[in-house]
Amino acid sequence: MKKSILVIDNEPKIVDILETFLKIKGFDVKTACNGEMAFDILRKNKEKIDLIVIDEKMPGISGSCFLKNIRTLDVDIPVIGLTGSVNVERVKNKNKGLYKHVFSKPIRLSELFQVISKIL
Amino acid sequence: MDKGKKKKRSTAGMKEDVGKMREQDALLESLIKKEREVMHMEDALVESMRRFRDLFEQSPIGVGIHDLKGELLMVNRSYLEVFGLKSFSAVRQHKLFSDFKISAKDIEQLERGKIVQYEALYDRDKAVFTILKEGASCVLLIISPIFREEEIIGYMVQMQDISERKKVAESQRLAQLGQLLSEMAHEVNNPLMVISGRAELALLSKQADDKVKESLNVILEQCFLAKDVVQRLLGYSRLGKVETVPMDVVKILDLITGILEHHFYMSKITLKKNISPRLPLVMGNEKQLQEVFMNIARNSIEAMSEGGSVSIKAVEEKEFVRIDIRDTGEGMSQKVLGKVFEPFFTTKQNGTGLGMAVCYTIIKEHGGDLFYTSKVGEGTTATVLLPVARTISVEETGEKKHIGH
Repeated sequence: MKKSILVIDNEPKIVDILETFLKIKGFDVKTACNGEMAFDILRKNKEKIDLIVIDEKMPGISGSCFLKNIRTLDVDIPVIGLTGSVNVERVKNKNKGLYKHVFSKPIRLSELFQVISKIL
Repeated sequence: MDKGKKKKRSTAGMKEDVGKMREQDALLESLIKKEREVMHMEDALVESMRRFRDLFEQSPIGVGIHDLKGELLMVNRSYLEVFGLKSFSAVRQHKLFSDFKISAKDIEQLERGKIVQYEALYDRDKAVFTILKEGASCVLLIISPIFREEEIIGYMVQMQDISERKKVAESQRLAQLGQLLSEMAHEVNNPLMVISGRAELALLSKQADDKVKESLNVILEQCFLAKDVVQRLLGYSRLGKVETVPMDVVKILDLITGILEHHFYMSKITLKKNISPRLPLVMGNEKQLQEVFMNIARNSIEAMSEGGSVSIKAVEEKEFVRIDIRDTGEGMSQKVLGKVFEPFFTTKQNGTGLGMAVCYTIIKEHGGDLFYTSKVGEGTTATVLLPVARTISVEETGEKKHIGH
């Protein structure tokens, strides 16, 4: 069965790229461009999401804030973080254990795929 | 006197006497009153003098009074404190028009009766006001003419050490800069991601022929180059509190030479290491020291475009560990040497010029020193001094604790 990935980034062009790429690689992709939308999707598809890829810095809810919130939904989905400005080390430290991996943008899609394959 | 008048005088005379007495009384009273007034005035004067002397003596602002020629007449305690001195005789040589680095324009202003204000740096070692230098106190100087009835009779210098204030302002500015850079980095990295993402997706397309693929690969490569620059820029803005721990600096040197091994080989550069055995641990911040040594090493490589050799020496020197990185490259002239740590100074075409300035700051924050010695045509030596991590033993537990300098 196809694995399902939820991609969250407030920059639609980036969501588009990730969606296209992941679909080519054979994943089912759901997208959201902010925390609220993502929350919604998660609630409706709890069982079916296998991985979340999320941008750390978004207006409204930040990536790490979102992560803390989804814990309340009682989900244990692995999360990959993307960051555009904040130091990768700092993101990792701020959210010990919450992110399975953190990338700093721009990322090589091939590298992303490698990491995803290891997780799923 | 007439005998006849004597009789008349007795009653009239008595009245006169009484009158005279009253006059004398009144005179006496007025004298006493005047004397009291004078005493009051004296008291008031003394009190006034005392008040002004208190003001002058105890003002937290340093004050010095100069005559028209600029000779120093009088100073207060705070003035002496700015210079770290104890008595008037130590400062009496201060000449207003030469020692305070006043500009000619400002002198003109003073002579015209205007007040002049500027910041100067006081070098305690050399005991002079000077231009920006390490170990200098920043002093705010306000110089004003002293008037007496429209005529200038002297000059007053007021000074205040504002070094602390400047440090705070500087770190605030750095924090703001850091914030700004972080936001801008985000704004650059997103479009970079779109460019590289699209290029990578296009590469996956079966329609791309070899030529197109080549272009796309170049695009990808450049995107990640740009990413590197942004990362470095973010790194620069994050200077601030340096957390240092006892560490082995040799490990860092090994790491850097390991990373650059291939680079050395390709550039025909041989590497020699001369590390003192039993070198003590130093107080350092791993990431920052990596950045510094990487920078120095890269500069060495770039100085030897035709190949050459790099020798790394590490010894213990007093309370420091001294690391010398010598190359046999083109060397630097006195002029370049003087500017090598200036922000934005670079001899490279594509350099940002921030590297060495940042490295210097990092090492200084470590409590160490960084300097270059060089001879054109012979080579350059970068010297890094890092404070040794001292060990003290805790008597009770017998544990050894490392403390920094």
